[in-house]
Amino acid sequence: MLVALASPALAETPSSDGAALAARASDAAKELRTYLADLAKAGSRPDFSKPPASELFGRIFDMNGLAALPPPASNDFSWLLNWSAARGGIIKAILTFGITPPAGASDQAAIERNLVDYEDQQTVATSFLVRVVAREVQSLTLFMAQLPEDQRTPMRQEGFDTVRAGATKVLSGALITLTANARMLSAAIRDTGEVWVGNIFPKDRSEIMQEIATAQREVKDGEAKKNLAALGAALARRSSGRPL
Amino acid sequence: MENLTPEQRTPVRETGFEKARVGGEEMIYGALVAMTQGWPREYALNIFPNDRPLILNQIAEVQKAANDDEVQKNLTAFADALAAAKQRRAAIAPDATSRSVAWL
Repeated sequence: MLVALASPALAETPSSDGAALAARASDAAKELRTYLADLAKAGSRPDFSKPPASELFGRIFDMNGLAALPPPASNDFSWLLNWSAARGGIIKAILTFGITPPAGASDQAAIERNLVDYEDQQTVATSFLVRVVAREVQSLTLFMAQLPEDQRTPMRQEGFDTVRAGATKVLSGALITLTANARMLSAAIRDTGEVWVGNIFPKDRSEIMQEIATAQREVKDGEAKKNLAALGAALARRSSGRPL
Repeated sequence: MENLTPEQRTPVRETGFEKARVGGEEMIYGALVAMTQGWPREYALNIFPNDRPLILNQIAEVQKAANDDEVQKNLTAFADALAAAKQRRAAIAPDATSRSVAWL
């Protein structure tokens, strides 16, 4: 009973679908890390176009599974954390493949090679990141909203503000990485636009809008330009106080 | 950036990936604070046993992945707070056999 009083959201049973997908992603991430380590020891490089790398990668960055989930709920965060840990480790493992940590200046060439060779994987991973981070923000927003007044402490609000600021960095980083695969990533940004418009702090808006403008200038794909323009326009409306 | 060769654009993309990665880790830290702090101690001691394994696991995972000093410092402080809660709980109910205590 105390659990329910103190934390109604965490006390509920987590969404089984989301929890199952997160557990599957976590298992796949462990397997993929082992596989990558074995390849590195053998002096080989991963080929994400065929199993096992393609299948493991697909289970971690399961865009279709994420899209098929029910709408965000206040108790999603328990399994979203699991998923976050799985995908975060893999993004870094691919970026630093073949490097013995900690990475140093002498490893720059290896990182650059990984960025070129695994550009498609990084794009999928970043697109997934944008979508899942948006869900995390939505889930935590609901969590905060259902708390009794006396539990909305300043420290808790500070934690929530840190989440919003961190999410903005994710979006900013994604905008910076927009390249030849801009359509997929910009679609993720477009689909989650409402979350960004509602959660980017006013002080960060102009920087994000500048990054959107830069990305719009640099991408060639018409649809990607349109996707970016939609977010830029929504942020501009928010800044001017006009209706979204 | 599309006008650049893959080799030319990699440093810019690397910066973007790094920013996104650090942002993601900060989000996890912020979420952990929002979800678990601010509770009265007696509530926290009852809630932590159920959530602690997951939370501690996440902190360990993020710490392994993070090389940002500020993120590391924040996560270490949070893990220490959880460990202190565990000790307090053990002192309060050293012989308890409930399912919650078994998680400690």
